[in-house]
Amino acid sequence: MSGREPRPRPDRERSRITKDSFLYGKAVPIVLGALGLITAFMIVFALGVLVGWIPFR
Amino acid sequence: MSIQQMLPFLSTAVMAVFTTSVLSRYFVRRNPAFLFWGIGLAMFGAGSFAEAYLALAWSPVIFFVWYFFGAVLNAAWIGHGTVYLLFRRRWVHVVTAILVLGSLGALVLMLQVMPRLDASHFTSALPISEQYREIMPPVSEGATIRLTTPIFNMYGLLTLVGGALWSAFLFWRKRVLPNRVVGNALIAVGALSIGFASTLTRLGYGSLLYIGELVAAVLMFSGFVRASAPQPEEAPQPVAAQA
Repeated sequence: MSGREPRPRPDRERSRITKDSFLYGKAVPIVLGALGLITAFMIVFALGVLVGWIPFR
Repeated sequence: MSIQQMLPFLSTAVMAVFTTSVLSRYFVRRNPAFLFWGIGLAMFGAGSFAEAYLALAWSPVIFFVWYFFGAVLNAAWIGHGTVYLLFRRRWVHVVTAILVLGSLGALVLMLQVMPRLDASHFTSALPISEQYREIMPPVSEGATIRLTTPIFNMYGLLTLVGGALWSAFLFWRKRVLPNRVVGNALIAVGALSIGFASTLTRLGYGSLLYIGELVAAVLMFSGFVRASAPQPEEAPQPVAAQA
């Protein structure tokens, strides 16, 4: 049988986050969640400005 | 020149490098996401430059550039690039047509308000973000353009920040490409910082806009570079043994 090297895997499969990483296991989901909440708040705020609930100067 | 007057020049310089980097990728890959990002970033940079200019002297043309590109359009056009990245192109083209038509409509509204600017209230001692309300007429007196900023900015917020957070979440959930998790998170934080500063400006607290723009420029560029960086390779897989 030939000793041909396996076909290179795409980038997506080659760089993985380790299972015991504190940064990616705890910190990243908390940060993403907080940013999501802030984004939702700012969208609601902009809607409030648009409909006149919040004073527009 | 004070530090506050220097900040928008710094933002302009960062955005110039960022815009060039993104547009050069468009000319190589022809991905429309890079085109819209590049156009939006160029608008951001034009707005920063106009802000820097207006910290020194008045010009109605430069005020037009600051408000139309810096306050109204840039967030939506940057965010629209992310839409091309995340969704199928067939209906994204429809949204593109709406964005272009909306931008043209905003242009008409902006041109209508230009003859009614009152430059007698202008002073280079204050950032333009703290005095534009005295220069532009109120909405009740025909400055309808001011009502379009929440609409365009909401779209930009939803697509740019929402898209970056969604991308970061997807890569995190699949436990792959950590650079893209961090890069997209940086882009989201950068976009939120300018969104927050812009919101404060509309509430009458415009002194933070300069620093918000610089923070946004640095963070978004850093995020883009991080997300685009080549991924570190894992240990090579063993070659199949010969029989």
